[in-house]
Amino acid sequence: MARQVLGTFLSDVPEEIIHAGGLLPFALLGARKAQSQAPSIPSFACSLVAATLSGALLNGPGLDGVVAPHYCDSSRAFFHVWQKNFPDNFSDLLRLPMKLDSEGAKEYLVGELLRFKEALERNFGVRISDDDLSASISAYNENRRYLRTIKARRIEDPDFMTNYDFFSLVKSSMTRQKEEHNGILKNIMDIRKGSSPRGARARPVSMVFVSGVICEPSEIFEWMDELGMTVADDDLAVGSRYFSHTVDERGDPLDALAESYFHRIPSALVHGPGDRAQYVLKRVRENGLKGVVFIRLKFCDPLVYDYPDMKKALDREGVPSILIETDLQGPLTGQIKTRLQAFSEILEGAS
Amino acid sequence: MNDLAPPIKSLSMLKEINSRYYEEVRHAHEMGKKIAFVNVFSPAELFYAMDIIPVYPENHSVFLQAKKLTGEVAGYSEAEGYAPEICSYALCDIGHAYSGISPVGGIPKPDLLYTSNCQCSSLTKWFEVLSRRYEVPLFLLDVPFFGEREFDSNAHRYVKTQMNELVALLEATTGKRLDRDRLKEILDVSERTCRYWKDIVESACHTPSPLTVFDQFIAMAPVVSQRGLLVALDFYETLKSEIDDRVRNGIGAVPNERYRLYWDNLPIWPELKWLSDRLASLGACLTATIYTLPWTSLGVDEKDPLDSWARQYLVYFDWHLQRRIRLILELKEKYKLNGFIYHSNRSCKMLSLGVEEIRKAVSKSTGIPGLVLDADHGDPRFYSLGEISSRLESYFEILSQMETKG
Repeated sequence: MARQVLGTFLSDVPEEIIHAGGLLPFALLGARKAQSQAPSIPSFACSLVAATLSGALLNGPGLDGVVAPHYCDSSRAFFHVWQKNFPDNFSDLLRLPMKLDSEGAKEYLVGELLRFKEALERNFGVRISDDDLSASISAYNENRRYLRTIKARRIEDPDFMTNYDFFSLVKSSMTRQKEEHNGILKNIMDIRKGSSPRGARARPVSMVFVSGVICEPSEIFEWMDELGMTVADDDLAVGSRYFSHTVDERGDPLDALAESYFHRIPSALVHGPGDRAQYVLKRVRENGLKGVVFIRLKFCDPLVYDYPDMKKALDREGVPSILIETDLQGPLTGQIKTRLQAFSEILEGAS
Repeated sequence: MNDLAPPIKSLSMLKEINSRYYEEVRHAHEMGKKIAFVNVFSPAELFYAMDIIPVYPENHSVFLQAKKLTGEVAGYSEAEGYAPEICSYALCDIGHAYSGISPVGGIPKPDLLYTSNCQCSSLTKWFEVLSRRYEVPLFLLDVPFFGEREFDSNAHRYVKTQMNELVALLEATTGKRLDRDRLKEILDVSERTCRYWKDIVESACHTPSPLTVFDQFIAMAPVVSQRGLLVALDFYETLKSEIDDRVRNGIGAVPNERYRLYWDNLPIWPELKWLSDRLASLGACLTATIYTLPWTSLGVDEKDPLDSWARQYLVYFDWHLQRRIRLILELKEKYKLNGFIYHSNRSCKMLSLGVEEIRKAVSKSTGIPGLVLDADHGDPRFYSLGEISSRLESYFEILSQMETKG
C-alpha cells in the first residue's frame, strides 16, 4: 500500500512525528506554474496560501490531510478554509509557541507535540513508539547534516553546486521519504568528493545572503546562477531554517524535538528574542558575503513589517541589499532578472 | 429628508471623555504613572491596577482615519519602507511613531509595549516595529487557539504562565507589587461596565432598533480603553438609560426601518457617516455585528483573575470560521436580521480571508443572500464609494424583490 501523504506548511512542522507514523510529510510550496485564483480567495491573501488553496479548491486536495502551524492570520485562514471545504480530510492546526522566551513555552510545546502525535495515531490507526520517533529523528538528523555539509562546501567552492540545484535539493528533501533522500544526498557527496571541475568563469562570483520565507519561482535561483551570485547563506523557511538544527538523539524524543525548536535561526514568523537584522549582519560578516537579497512573497505581512529596519541596519553597515517581490500566481516577469542583474553589477563594483 | 432620527444625546459625552483620557496620558509621567501601548484585547484592568495607563494604538489610528488623515500619516511610514499592503491601523500608527501626527494632541513615548496574538498576528509584527522605534521592551501574550477541539489545559497552563510573567514584568517596570484588592475593585467596575455594554448592544433586538451598529462603533471606545474606570461606567449607565427610553418610546435609529442587517468585520472608519446616511436613506439599519461583541462579557473571576484572563483569551476571542458562522446564525434569530453585509477588509486578513466561506454558509442556511463589500477599515486608497454605493443598491433591489415574492 502506498504511504499516506500529509501536506505540511513551511518548515517548522515536526515532520519526524509524521514520518514515525509511517506517513509521508509533503511540503506545500505553492503551484509550480501560474494558475487561476479560486474565486473565494481574496486578492490580498498571502501568495503562498492563495496558490496552495487555489490548487486544492480547484482540483481537489490530492492529499490525505494537512498540518499547518498557526504562524499568521493567513496560515490560520488556510487551515479553516481547508477544514471547511474538506471536512473528511485530516487537518491539524499545529499551535507552536509563537514566542520563545516564556518559561512555559517548552513544556507547552512538548504537550502540543504529544497531542499532535496522538491525533495522528487516532486518525491513521497507527502507533508511534519512542523507538519509531528516535529512528525518524536519526534519519532527519542525517538529512540535515548532509544539507549543511553541502551548504558549507558551496561557501568554500561556489562551483560545487548551483543555487538552483541546491535549493531544489532542499525542496525535494521536504517532499520525499527521508531515507530515500539521504541515499540521494550520499550519492551526490560520494560522486563529488574531490574538488569540482572548474570551468572558465565568465564573471567573478559574488556571495550573497537570501532573506525571506520562501524563494519562488525557482527561476530566481537560476538567474542568480547565471549572474554569478552564489547564495552562500539564507534564513529561508524553505532553506536553512529547515536544516540548520540538530535534534538530540538521547533522551525523550518529543522533549528533544521540542527543545530543537528553540535553537533555530530567527524567523519573521516567530517572535523571538533574537533580532533578525543582527543575525543577518553577523552571518554576512562571518562569511564575507557581498550583499543581501530580500525575497518577499506578495502579501506576506510579517516580511513587510521586518524589512525596513533590516534594510536600515544593513545600510548603516554598508551592506548592499535589494528587495524582490514575488507572486506565486502572477506571470513571471523579466523585471526581476533585470533588477538582479543591476544588483550583481553593484556587488561586483563593490568588490 | 425624512431619514433623520433623533440623535443619541449621550454620545456627545464622548468628546470630553476622550480628550480627558488623552490629557491624562500626556501628563502620566508627571503623575508618577507609566504608559503601556497595548492591543484592544488586553487586560486593561491589570494595567490600571498597576498605575499604568494603557494606550491603544489601534484607537489612535481610528482617530487618524476618521479625521481622514490616513494619506498624510501613511506617507511617513511608506517613506520608511513600509508597504501599504499591511493593516492600515499599523501603517497609520507607524507613521505616527515617525511623524508625531496626532489628532488628540500627541502621545508620549511608552514605557512598555504589550500585545497578544489572540486578536491577530499582525499586531506582533507591528508592535515589534514599535519596540525597535521606541526602544522599549515588548511583552507578547502568545495564545494558541484550539478552535473546535476540546478545551486544552496545556494551552491554558501556558497562557497562565505568561500572565504571571506579565505581572512580574509590570511589577519590575513600576517598582510596585500588584495590589490584589485594588485589582478586585477595578474588576468589579469593569464587570458592571461590560454588563451595561451588553444591555446596550442587545437593545438592538427591539423593533425598531434604538441604535445602529454605527452608534456602537462610536460608543465603544471607553469600554475598550477605560474599562475598569468610573468614567466609563458612568458613560454607559447614562447611555443605557437613554437607550431604554428610546425603546420605551419606540424611537428607532433609522426611521421606517425596513431592513435589519448584520455587519461583519471592522467599520470603514473614514466613511462612517457617509455609509450610515446611505443605509438610513435605504431604510436599512445595521443592527448587529460581531465586532462590538467581545466587550459584552469580559467577566473576570476575582478569585483567580490571571486564570480567568487566560481562559478568556483562549476561548472567547477565538473567532474560528465555524464558530463565526454559528454566531452569525444565532444573531440572525436574536436580532431578527433580514440581510447580511460582509466587509471584506483588505487590512484585516484575520477576519477577511474566510469571508466568502462564511457568506456561502450563512446564505445556504438562512436562504437570504449576503453582500460582500471590498473595502478597508481606514485607507480610502483601497475602495471606491461609487462602487460601494452601486453594490448596495443592487443588493437592496434583490432583498426588495425577495420581500415581494415572499
